[in-house]
This record gives sequence, structure tokens and C-alpha cells, in this order.
Amino acid sequence: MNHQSVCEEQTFHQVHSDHATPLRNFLFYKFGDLEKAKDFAQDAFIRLWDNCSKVPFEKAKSYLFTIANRLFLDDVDHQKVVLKFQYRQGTSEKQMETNPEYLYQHDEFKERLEMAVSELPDKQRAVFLLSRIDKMKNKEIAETLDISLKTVEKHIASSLQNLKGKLDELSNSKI
Amino acid sequence: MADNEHNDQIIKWLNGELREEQLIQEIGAENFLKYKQIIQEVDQWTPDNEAVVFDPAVVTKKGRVMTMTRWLSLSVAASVVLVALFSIWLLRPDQTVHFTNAGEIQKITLPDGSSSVTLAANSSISWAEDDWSSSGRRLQLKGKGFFRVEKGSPFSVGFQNGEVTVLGTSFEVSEFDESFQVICFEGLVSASDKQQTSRKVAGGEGYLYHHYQWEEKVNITDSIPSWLQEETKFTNVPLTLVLKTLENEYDLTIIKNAVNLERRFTGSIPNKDLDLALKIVFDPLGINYEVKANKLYLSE
Repeated sequence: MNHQSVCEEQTFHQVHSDHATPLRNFLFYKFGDLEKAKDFAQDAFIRLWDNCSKVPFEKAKSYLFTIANRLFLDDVDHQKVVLKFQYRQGTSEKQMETNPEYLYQHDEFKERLEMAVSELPDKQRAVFLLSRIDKMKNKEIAETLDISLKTVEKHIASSLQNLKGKLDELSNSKI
Repeated sequence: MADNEHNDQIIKWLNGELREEQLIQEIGAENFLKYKQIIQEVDQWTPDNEAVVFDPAVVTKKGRVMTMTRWLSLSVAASVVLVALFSIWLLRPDQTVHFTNAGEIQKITLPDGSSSVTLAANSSISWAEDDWSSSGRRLQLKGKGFFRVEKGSPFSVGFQNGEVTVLGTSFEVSEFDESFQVICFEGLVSASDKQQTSRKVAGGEGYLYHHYQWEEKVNITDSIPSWLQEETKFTNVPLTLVLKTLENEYDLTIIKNAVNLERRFTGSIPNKDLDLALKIVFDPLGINYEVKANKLYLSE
């Protein structure tokens, strides 16, 4: 049993440094607006702080994700999701070079993949990107989003297959 | 999707439970290399290289954050100073605070060593060291408390909209919104509002102060508050007080919608059985209710 309380500033800061970025990223993956994702992530932390006595430390993470998700759902003006990504700082030129094994043409590959990712179903996309970009373990994703491990795995594998399907479509239409 | 039959193998491969060659055998080299290319690309992505989303101290220090436009930053700076001063005031070494969480009851012995207060759920009591001396005993209440006061110097309980003073007795104060209720179980207490209109409340009597007026006296037959046992008893009280009690006992947020809260309620509600409590309160009044995730939605 962990007796840490979120009301302790130190613990709260710890929760923040562990989860703020994944939370913002999750909102971005799901809803596609980075500015709003930041705002709602912050709002979720404010809610957590206001309710710190009612949220046990172990539940803080799933509380944050649930609240933030709801804030976004309640927000009226949803837009079509069009995700754009940056390359991580520190990604070397070499890694970005064309791998001779690659089957998809490297030109515009990023743009096409971004488009394909944007067209994935929301939940699949969020889970897939939390896994790949935020390097969250499947089990951790399951706990955070309150879904089963099986569902997480299914979302990830389906995402991958859907992405390939979309990319194949896009490549064929280009020819 | 048409080709989701390979889900299991893909999962195993991603989990490191299936080697590349095995997956290639299952799905073919072309498919495999495409998956790999997708993954390697996505693995290099990030939504934003600025990882720090905001400073958590902004939340913990102020409780509320606004977008800082230029003209706002001044007022924010001013409020930070205020908050700092307030914290210093709160943290005065001689300030004592006790509080209860939702659904919790706590008995606290007061500094005179013999008097006590039992706090109902979601309530707090505080006093400063110099509030207790031979010339008087004073404390501040938020919420609901049952007091047993030993004879001695004048004893007073202050709260947002009034004050109760006594010599030695047992009584209950329950404040909610702009109103409060004072019930005396033994002895005699004097309850007054901010305008200094007051009522003498004797043992076995209760008074409700609501909409800035004293209501008719209510007779109480119990010798201690009902909420110290299994239920909370109400006699002709506004629905708002009942809702407040439900919120505190069961850790609920009540979404009142357009329900008329000025109706009165008389009856007892259990403290540990939400379903029954809701039935008792709302069924006779014809109010529909639904509980979802610690929220109680009311409608008529």
C-alpha cells in the first residue's frame, strides 16, 4: 500500500513530471490540437490538485487521463484530426537516411504516414502512438486508459495493419 | 479490417516473443518490411520537442492558471504576493486546523482538555492559540459539528454567517450555503446571525436560520445527533441542507439542474447506504436521479 498523497507538493510535482507530457501527447494523438492538448492537460492537473484528497496516489494517472479526455469530449468544436510531427531532437541524419530495405519511397513518406495516422480511429491511434512515441508499456497504457491489455494489443496491431493498408492505397494511387 | 488475422503474430513480434524470421514466414517479407518501416519512422516522431508542458508550481501555488497575456501578468504577480501573504498567515505557528474528508467523522478534544467536538464529513474546525484563555474559548467551524462543552469560560463557535455562544452544554451546528441550523441537546446556547439577531436555544430545541431569517423552533427528542449513529435525521429542513449532507457523506457532486430546492424534507437518511438514502429523499418528492461516476444528476 502506497501512502503518498497527491496533496503533497513534492508528490504532485512528481506526478506532473511523470505524466504531463504523455497526457498532453495522448490528447494530441486523440484530438489533434496541440495547443488545446496543452490547455486541457493543464486543466486536468488543476482538477487533480483541487481534488487531491479524494484521488489516491495510484489512481492519479488514470484520473488525469479520464478528466482530460472528458474535457476534450465536452469541448464543442471538434475538428478533423490532421496530425503533424517533428523529428525528435537528437535523431541522427543517419537514422533518417533511406534504408535500402525500405519498400515505401522515402519521398513524402513522412507526410503520407502522417495522413494515414490521422485517419486511424481515435482510440487505436492514441494507443498506438503512446506505445511508439511515448514508449509506454502495454500494461501501463491499459492501466492509464482503463482498458484491458488485450484491447491495447489489438489496437496496436490493428493500427499497424491499417497504416500499411492506407499507405499501400496511397502508393498505388500515385502511380 | 480485412487482414487483421495476423494480429496475434504482430503483437508477439512487437512484444519480442516472436523473431523477425518467424513473422516473415507467417506474413511474407514484403509485409514485414513495410511494418518495420512504419514503426521506425513513427519511433522518431514527437508532437513537440518542448517536453515541459507547464510549470506545476503554477498549479500548486495558485490553484488556478490563466494564459499570461501581458496585461495579466501584472495582476498575476500581485496575486502571487497575496497568496504568499495568505500562506504565511495560514501557517502562523499557533493556528490549529482539523478537518474531515468525505464520509468521515472525527472526534477532537479541544484545548481546554475536557470539551470536545465531533466533526461530520467534509467539515473543519480551527482556532488560534490566543483564542483559548481564561476569558474565553473560541473556534471557527466550516460544515457541521457536534460540541460537548464543559462548564468554564464562555465558549463560542463562529462560522460564516453567525455565531453560537454557550457556557456548558452540548449542541450541534450545521452550516450550509448562506444558512445554518443550531440544535441544542443539553443546557442553553445563544445563536446569533451577522446582524446580531439571536435565538436562545434550550436543550431539546433546534432553530434554522434560512434566507436571512430565523424560522420556527423545532423540538428535538434525541440526546445526541442522529448522524453519530447510522443515519441523519432532518425535521422540516430545506432540500439544500439534505443535498449538502449527501454530498459530504457519500462524496458526491450533485448536479441540481432546475430542481426546486426550496422544498422541505422531514425524515431520516442512512449514512452508509446511498441507494436507500436517495430513494428516501427523492422518491416522495418526485425527483428523478441518476448516479454516474460520483455525480448525482437530478431532474424533475
